[in-house]
Amino acid sequence: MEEIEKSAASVEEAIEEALAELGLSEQEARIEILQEPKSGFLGRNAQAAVVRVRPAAPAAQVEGEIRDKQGDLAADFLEGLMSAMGIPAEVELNEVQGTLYAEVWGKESGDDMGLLIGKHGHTLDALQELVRSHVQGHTADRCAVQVDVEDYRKRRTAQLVRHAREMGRKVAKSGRPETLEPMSSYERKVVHDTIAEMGGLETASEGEEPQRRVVIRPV
Amino acid sequence: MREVLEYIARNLVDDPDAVEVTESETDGTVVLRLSVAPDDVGKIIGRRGRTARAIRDVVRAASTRSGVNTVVEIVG
Repeated sequence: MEEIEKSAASVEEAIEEALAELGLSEQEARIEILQEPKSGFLGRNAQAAVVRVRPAAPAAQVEGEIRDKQGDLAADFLEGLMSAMGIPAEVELNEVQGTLYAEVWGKESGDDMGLLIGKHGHTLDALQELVRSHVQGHTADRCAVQVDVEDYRKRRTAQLVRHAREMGRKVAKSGRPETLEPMSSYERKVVHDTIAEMGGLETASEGEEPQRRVVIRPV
Repeated sequence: MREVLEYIARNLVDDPDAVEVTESETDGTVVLRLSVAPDDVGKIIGRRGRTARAIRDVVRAASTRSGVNTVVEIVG
């Protein structure tokens, strides 16, 4: 299996560089921190951060039976969470374009499901992280289930793909780099993948979370 | 809010019976203190604090719905 080691000033940067080189998102990778950075004394004995990154079993390789089990775990967990939060909602499992979604739908049309999405999808990202942790605690495999709240994730992804293509065309035309707005790691991955498909362009992530942004450049 | 935090924590750890949440209130803010078995602390915090952040975000969303201010503290 392909694995690489990267060193950089911070663990965060080393991971991001390694992921970019392998073309993986954090969720698709197994990351080991080999060495934490040290600043040293007056610049002497300083140590860089070193990480080792290799691909985890990709989503397509998470076998049907395991994925179904993950789907059930995710749906049960989310249903229990909704009732603990006092939100009248149902959870449906749906396969859309090869991805298994656990979708939370409000039972009453007036219900504010925006609360579960949050600003820029922040709360939805948090739900995704809790589901990932719950699922991976019960199965050894990478979590292949995507959480959605009333199709927000799917709509946002489609929007993001269109926006990335538009910016990509702009860079190709002008020959000048463009910096996109801050995005979550999932959203940056969507942009990296979309631009990679266009050819003739490259992407990199810059800045610190939560202000991390994708930059598109001509090759 | 206590039930929300308890529910999440119990579903992330290996030892759900060791999950304890105590609740106190200062200046209109509800403080929830979560403690778990020593071996489960890493699971609750996650790599670079990612899971702890997610727990806080979801508890905050639940609090907003009930119109209260909530702080989650994790005690090892």
